[in-house]
Amino acid sequence: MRKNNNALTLAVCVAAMLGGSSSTWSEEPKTQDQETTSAPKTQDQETTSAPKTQDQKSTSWDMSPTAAPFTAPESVYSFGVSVLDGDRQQRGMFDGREDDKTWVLLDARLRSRDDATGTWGIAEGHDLGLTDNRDLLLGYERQGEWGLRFEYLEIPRIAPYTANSKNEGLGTSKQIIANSTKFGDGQTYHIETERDRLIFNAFHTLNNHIKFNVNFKHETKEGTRQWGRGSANEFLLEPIDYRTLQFDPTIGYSASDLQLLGGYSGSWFRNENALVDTYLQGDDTSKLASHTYLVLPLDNEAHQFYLTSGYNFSPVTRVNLKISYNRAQSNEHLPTTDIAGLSYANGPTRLDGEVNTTSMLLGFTTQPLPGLSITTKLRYFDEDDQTPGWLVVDIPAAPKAKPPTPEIQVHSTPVSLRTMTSQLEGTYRLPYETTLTGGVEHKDQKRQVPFGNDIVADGLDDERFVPWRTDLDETTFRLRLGRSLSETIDGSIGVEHGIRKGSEYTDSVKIMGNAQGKINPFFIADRDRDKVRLAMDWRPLERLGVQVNVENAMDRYGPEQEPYGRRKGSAQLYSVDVDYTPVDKWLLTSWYSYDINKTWQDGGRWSSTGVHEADKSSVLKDIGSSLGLGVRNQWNEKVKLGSDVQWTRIKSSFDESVSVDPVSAATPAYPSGVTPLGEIITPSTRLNTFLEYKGLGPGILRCDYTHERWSSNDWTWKFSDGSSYVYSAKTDGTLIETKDTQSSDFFGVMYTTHFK
Amino acid sequence: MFFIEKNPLLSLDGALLGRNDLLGGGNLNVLRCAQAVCLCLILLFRVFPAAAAEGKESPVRKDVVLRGDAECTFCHDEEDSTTLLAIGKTRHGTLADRRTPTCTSCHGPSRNHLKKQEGQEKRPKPDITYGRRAPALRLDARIDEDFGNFKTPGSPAAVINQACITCHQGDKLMFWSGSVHANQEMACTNCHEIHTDHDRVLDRQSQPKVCFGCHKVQKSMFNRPSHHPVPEGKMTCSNCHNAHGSLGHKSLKWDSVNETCYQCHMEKRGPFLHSHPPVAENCLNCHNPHGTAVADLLNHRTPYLCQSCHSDTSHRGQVAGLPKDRSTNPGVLGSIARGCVKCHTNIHGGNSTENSTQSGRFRR
Repeated sequence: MRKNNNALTLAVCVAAMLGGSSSTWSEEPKTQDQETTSAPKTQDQETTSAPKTQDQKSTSWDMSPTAAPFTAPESVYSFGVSVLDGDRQQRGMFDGREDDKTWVLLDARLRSRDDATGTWGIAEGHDLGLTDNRDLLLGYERQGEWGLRFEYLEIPRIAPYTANSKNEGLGTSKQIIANSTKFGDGQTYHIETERDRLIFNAFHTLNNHIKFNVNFKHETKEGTRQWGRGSANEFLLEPIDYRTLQFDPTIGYSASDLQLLGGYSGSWFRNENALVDTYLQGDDTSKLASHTYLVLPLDNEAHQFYLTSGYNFSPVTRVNLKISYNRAQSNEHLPTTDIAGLSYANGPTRLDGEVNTTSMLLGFTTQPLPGLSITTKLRYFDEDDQTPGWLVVDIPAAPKAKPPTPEIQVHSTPVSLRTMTSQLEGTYRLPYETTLTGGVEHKDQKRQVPFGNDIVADGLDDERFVPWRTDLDETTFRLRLGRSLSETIDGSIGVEHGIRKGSEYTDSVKIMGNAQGKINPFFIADRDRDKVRLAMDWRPLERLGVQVNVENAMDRYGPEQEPYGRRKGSAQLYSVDVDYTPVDKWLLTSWYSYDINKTWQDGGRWSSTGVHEADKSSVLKDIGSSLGLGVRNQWNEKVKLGSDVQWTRIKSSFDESVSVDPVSAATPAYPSGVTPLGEIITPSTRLNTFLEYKGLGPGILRCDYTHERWSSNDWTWKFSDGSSYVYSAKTDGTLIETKDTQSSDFFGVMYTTHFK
Repeated sequence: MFFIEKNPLLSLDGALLGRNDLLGGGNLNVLRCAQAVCLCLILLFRVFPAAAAEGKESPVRKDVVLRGDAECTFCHDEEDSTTLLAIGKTRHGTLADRRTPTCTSCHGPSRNHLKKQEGQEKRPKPDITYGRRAPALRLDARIDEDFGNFKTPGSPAAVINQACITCHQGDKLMFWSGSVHANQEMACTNCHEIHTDHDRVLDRQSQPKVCFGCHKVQKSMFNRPSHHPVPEGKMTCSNCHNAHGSLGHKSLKWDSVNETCYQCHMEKRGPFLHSHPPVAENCLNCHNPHGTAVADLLNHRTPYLCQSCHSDTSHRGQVAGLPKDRSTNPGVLGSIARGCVKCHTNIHGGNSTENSTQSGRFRR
């Protein structure tokens, strides 16, 4: 050990002579042999320890020269170059590495500290060599007193397909559909957005108890995403030019028994575009009917005030409270009212939208008996939509039309929800290292939309198409048993049962009495939910660890008198993680997981005149399997190498049976030209191999090779014969192209240096 | 005075005489003289402790990393474990901040550990231990990115957590007591590493791997083709959740699901002239933020997703199917391309005042 330590010290000194740098290899986690020597010294060891003179053994602010390298903040930076060859549009959606590219690798994590004042300087950056995927953090603070922090982050999102279109003005405020049946001879569009985020943070602490903190965030999001014209199968690109601001000042007080935090949170959303005008090439644009106007998200803002607190009545009893009030507003001028003749004459020109949310949250924990802890929570959440019930659409009745049409009105739809949730949970520590946790949670919700109110003369809403409930109640019971079976095994099992019921579905002339309205919207339907979770950590050997997880969940929806909608849902997960060190300097790891999600859903089909044509029953499955294997080897003091491989397979299936109504047997189960959905199977493999070498100067040279394969028979952008999707046969020949098989090779060389 | 209680002779040997002088074979008389001097000093210190305390030339060992760590770093020095000394690199080791702890603040006084009792073969552990990462995972910090947070057992979670809570209360930790993790007896050190200046759970790149160690369902979902950019290191679990507890749903940092989503998707906040009630109520009605096999994090493909609420005449009840080509009636194109939202394109809410039924159906 001594020889090693001397060597270690020598290495540090040499590193220092080489410019104040020392390799991390000297500080890597210890191997098994090393660890066995890290126990406190025996007396014998102590007698043979190197004597420490007064000079050598000093305080950290007058530190031992041999200890100093291990106690001073460490910085690290890496630089190198990498090459990507091939396609990885699917995997590269968020990292800007979607196809052939060569770029500089540059990462840094720099730390400095003035020990005399406790002042830190922090600089951290990732992917600094990429132009659209960088992040940077700069900080300067005196620990416990004040600090400033600045962060910059780029997040790209690149659609994994391209569009070839002859439409004009895509992504702008005036978009013209080509009005052509040709396809494939237009301009190629890469559809992407990029977020640029700036965050500034400052804090100041007084007397170790009072802390002022302020966060400011500025983010822009620019680019385009797919959009539609609303009434036709045509391709548009929504222009995205968003700017969001957030301002969050807080003041906090913290003492041993009482903590308080109060603050304001303001956020503002601004959209540079409000309206998009679209029309067909060649149409007479002087006519209103030629235009389709689409409204983009309008400016909005929210202002919240809140106070949170925690108080320790005793070492085992604590109360938490949070009170907040939030006002979300949107009152920008409604742009379609500027188009002559487009809007209802007496409709609003501004939304005057306002949603006021009041929440009160109370938590109480205590230990009335040794080994027994009890937690209760009460949560009141009132989301009150004060947006006026505007009459937006008023189309007079047309009794002479064939067929005659009644008056049609559409009002705005403010949604208000008030929810009270109460929870009681107790944990009891039983003998034999066993812990039993039991709890119950009850949720009571009042739900309001302008249903049957005075905006409709007959008291029945003739605008809604979906059943609604004004009350929901849900009660959930939980039980969990955890046990430490020995020093090497931990296990737990948890079960949960929930029951959700609601009031009668609210009547609507659109729904009442019509068979097609007999549906249970899943988010308000009656529901029985059961969950089981098993978990085990087992370390039979110091060198072998196993972790097993099993989860099962089942939902059943009702009531039965509403025959359509989701009937059942289930989810299972099985996973195993294993790590094994067969001999020193070798490490093997593996994991496997299998999950399956199923949904049973029923539906009906009616003609536009209301004739029942068919009923259908569907079983939707989503199955995921993943396997990972890894190996590491410390070849010698200078060389380390390793490899990881991950294989994943996602399979989605859509088993739908269609039962044609004998009354309308002439209607086929599938319309002409439509075939049932096929399975979607998406396998992917990723192999990464690396080699690290320390022998070139003070740092580590690392080489990485990664091979990725991804394929899918996803038909989202295909027709049934496998050809690429093309928009409207009459007006828009926009072609969407995907790459069903993607394969890429990545090679990177990076040099990493640590220094103090 | 501690070292005298611990092992006075050895300590003094170490302090007063160089090891080479002792063992180098030189002059035994020198050694004997030195030992005699030591004994005298011991006697002096025991009889006149005040004198020892005031002595400028006191051989009392000084701290190495933390205030008051001398009794620990006497053994746990750089020759023993650089890992332990790495506390000096951290905020806990910033001595100018007078709030920072010493070893025994977290590990307890540990008198039995400091002084092995007669007859004990193995030195007892400190009063509070935090477990260590399994040896296999210590070999390479990167390896655990796809594996559980294997740790050897330490003290009970409540004991560990109390050591941390003593100083860390308020702010983000306000609701730790009674939180899901606290009630499931998670220890702070199940996620956090203390003796390092690079705590993985505080790093955007590595934090998700720490969470995935237990949250296997979420790990599985992030392997789906459509997911938030968490595996890519552009987001973290803590962007949405507070692992230290909150009074909200699923430990979300904000009071509701939608409020959480609006932090980044503010354009969906509205209020809108035409609200879509399930959207205004809960984004999770249609999306799974952790990942799905459907684009845009949808729970199901259209038309199934829409048909779980909408049942009516015309195209609403269409069968799911693949059209043979683009001449197919658009009324049965709900399965492919953008599905139903090809036309209902402002599905999160609309602000069109067009005097047409289309505006209220999110088509404008």
